[in-house]
Amino acid sequence: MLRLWVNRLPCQGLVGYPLLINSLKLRRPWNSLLTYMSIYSEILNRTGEGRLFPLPPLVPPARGNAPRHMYVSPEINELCNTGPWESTAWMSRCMVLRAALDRFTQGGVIPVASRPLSGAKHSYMRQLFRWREEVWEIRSLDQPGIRVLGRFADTDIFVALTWHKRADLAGPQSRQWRDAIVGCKTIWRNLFPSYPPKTGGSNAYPTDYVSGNTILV
Amino acid sequence: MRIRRTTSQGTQFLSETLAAEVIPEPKLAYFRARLSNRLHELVLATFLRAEKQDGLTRAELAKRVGRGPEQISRWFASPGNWEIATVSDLLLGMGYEPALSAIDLREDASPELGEDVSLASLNLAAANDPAIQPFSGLLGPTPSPTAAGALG
Repeated sequence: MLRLWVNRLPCQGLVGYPLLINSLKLRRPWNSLLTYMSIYSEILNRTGEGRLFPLPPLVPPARGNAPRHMYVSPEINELCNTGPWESTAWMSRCMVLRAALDRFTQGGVIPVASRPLSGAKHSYMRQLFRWREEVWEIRSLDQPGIRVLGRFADTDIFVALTWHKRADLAGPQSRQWRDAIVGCKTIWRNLFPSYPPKTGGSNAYPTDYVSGNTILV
Repeated sequence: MRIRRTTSQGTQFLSETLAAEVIPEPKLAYFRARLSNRLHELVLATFLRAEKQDGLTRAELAKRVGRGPEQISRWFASPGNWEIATVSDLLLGMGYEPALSAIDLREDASPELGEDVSLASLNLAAANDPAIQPFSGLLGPTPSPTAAGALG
């Protein structure tokens, strides 16, 4: 833990916090700094470093503020924001995905898969099994189907980390799915080594993750 | 008072879309998907209200529209195979029909406001987090997330 902070603070200084570092050195021993950080400031740091990107909806919600927030990895930012895309058809497909991601940040009602799963196989959002791994998928069902995997940093704050074409993931128990989940967790650990994702209790599912406007299917 | 709905990225996206002589196919695709999602949300929100106020169940709704409960579950899960008739049937089954109106997107495409609501909200959350109050300076200048994307 201590080594981690020694490594990372100089990077923060490079993006504009030199005074902070000086003041921290004067005021606090290194090992007491850990208590005073939070996942929020870590997300801000990652966005400053270009390792995460905020993804507000392209057409902002009518109530003025996005009630939910999404941060995406560079690869997802490329996919649904900056490109490049290999063809106009693929770009159009990615825009349908962007509309799906914007649905989360718009704050409207979203269908979330029950735990354990009920009969509905195509809910908008689903916590992947095993639940304790805290990996979620957002499903974009147009062809080719796309799955975006990520984790909740806190209630209503989703960090989307990887994406896959559904056809590449094969069946539900496949090695490809396992690799996708492990890959998502690995990226999270690289971004937030000191912070686990948001965890939820079974009694408050899914409101521990999404505070309102959900329907279980 | 109308609340202006803008972010820097959203503003540029809208203004480029509205200014285009021919709207590019990807942007058409975005708005088609957005409409589909919004109709889906409308039906789900209406059902949640009817469920709370009137005790309507999915089984009762299924019966009223002449479908099986599993079809209602599929429809609620995703708008993938919806048709306009689906929206009409489901809302009528709950005792509603949609109120339609069109909003002028040009009002939202003004470049006046440019704050990224997502980062601004996170800054606020971080600033209000008691765990980091002693070092609130860490939040300092909001890091620039990215240049506006190719989509605007």
